[in-house]
Order: sequence, then C-alpha cells, then structure tokens
Amino acid sequence: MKPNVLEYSREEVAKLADDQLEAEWQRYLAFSNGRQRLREEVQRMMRKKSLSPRVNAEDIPEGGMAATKAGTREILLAKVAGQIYAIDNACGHSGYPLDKGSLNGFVVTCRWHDAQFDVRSGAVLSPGREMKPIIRFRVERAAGGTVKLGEEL
Amino acid sequence: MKTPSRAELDLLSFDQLSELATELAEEDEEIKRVRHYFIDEFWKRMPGQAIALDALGEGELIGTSVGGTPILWAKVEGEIYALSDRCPHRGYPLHHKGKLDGYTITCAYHGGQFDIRTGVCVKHPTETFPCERFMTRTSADGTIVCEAVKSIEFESGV
Repeated sequence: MKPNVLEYSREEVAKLADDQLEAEWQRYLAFSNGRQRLREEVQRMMRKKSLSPRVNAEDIPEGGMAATKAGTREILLAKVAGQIYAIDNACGHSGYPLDKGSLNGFVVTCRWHDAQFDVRSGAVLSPGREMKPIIRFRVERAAGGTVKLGEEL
Repeated sequence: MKTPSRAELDLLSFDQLSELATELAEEDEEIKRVRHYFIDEFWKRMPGQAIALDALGEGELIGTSVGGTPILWAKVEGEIYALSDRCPHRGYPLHHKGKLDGYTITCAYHGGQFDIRTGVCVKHPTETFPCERFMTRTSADGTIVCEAVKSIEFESGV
C-alpha cells in the first residue's frame, strides 16, 4: 500500500493480490476523480476571473475579444468586421477560457492546446479532435451600447 | 500537491490559477500512466483460455483473453455476443464490474453504454466511438470462438 497512488510502479501494481489490486484501484479512482473535479473548478475559476460584468460594444476593439456573463455561463464576445459574435467561453477541448486565446479572422485559437473554433457558428475547426460545437448566442445591443445576449442559437 | 478548497481558489489571481492548471495538467500525465498499470493488470489476470458454451449463464458477462485480445462475452436469450473488452472511451475493461441490462452493457468507469449486439454506443458522458464487435460461433469441442467483424484502431491502454 502506497500513501500516494501515483507512486506505484508497474511492477508494484503487478505484485498486488487480487483484493488489494481492487482496493487500490478504488483509491486511485477516488484520487483521479477528485483531481478531475479540481481541474474543472480551476478552469471555471479562470473563466470567472477573466469576465467583465458589463461589456460596452465600443470597448471591444476590431478583431478583439472580451468575456462576459449570461446567467451562470461565461460567454466569449468577439468583434469581427464591426459585428459581435457570442459563443460559450469554455473551450470545447478542456474548458479553459477562450478569450485568453487569439482571434484571427473568425477563428479563435485556445491559448492552452490550440483548439480552434469559428466564432460565427461555434463550429470545431481543429481536425482530429472529438468535440461538440460550442454553444452560440444571439447578440443584441442594449441602450448605451452595452452588449446584451439574446437566446441560445 | 494539496487540494485547495473553492474559497482558497477564489483568492488566487488569474496567473496563479493558470500556474495551478499547468501543474494539474502535468500531474494528469502521471495519473494516466498509473491508470495503465491497473488496467493492464486487470487484463493480465483474465483467464486466457477459450470459454465453454455452458460456462456462461444467461445475462452473464465474462472477460477472456483471446490470442492476446481482451474479449467481453455476454449471453442474452441464449445467444452469445462478443465485444472488445476495452471500453472505447478510456480503455477500461468492460468485464470489470460492467453491468448487463438486456442488450446494454454499462462500463463501470464512466457509465458509457453499448449495445452488445452491434457495439453501438447507446449513451455516453462524452462523445465516443462504437465498441469493436466480434462474430461468435461454437466450435466442435463446445468452446466459443470469435472472429473480428471490423477492425477499429484503439490507442493501446488509453
């Protein structure tokens, strides 16, 4: 029995009796599931830290991005040719904030693992990756030029 | 690494969180490495010989290694079905605490469900591939043999 399941070598795992193997696997699962939750929480927190509660349309530069909130979701706003597009700010690959990436034309590239999406449609552009398209929203402008998000498209 | 609470995370700056995310990503490589040790071991401990037709009861599952390929066997309404024993999601042995309900096998790891007749993924927390399916037949000595229907490439042990 190792205090930390990550210290196991292949040989040590092979030496475990059947019931120990099962017990250690359960400990491994508890540990790795905890880490998975922590990773998601850290990414959620990163998205939270990067958002502005209210974004004025004029404040987003051409070819630039901002992050805002809609309900419980963090939303990426991208301005291309004067038009503002809104998609979920959580990267479809592992959940990092997309607004910290780069925008080239209509293509946003995630800073962490280079996953790419079309800001108009939320479509996945990186080949060889299994991801669902990102949810997009209608963008409206409220009085005073504040960006207001409409329904999910 | 100590597990920070949600309140502790909230006190961190974006850059500190980013650093923590990097550390967690590095640690995740270790987590994956150790996972392979366990999963490979589960397979190594599977019986290696062919199974007899009557060794498998109605609604039962069994995993055996056939020529080095882990196979999951299931019997439903008298018919024997064979799938690859690697869940296409994370390579987990489906026979290991997998649950059979009708024709649906549920992987014990993340709850992915596959139809044992076709290998089609019925339900999954993430998008995934179908599970590799094998044709089964009974040989002259009463053991069950299987043949690959189609080959899908699996990332070994992942």
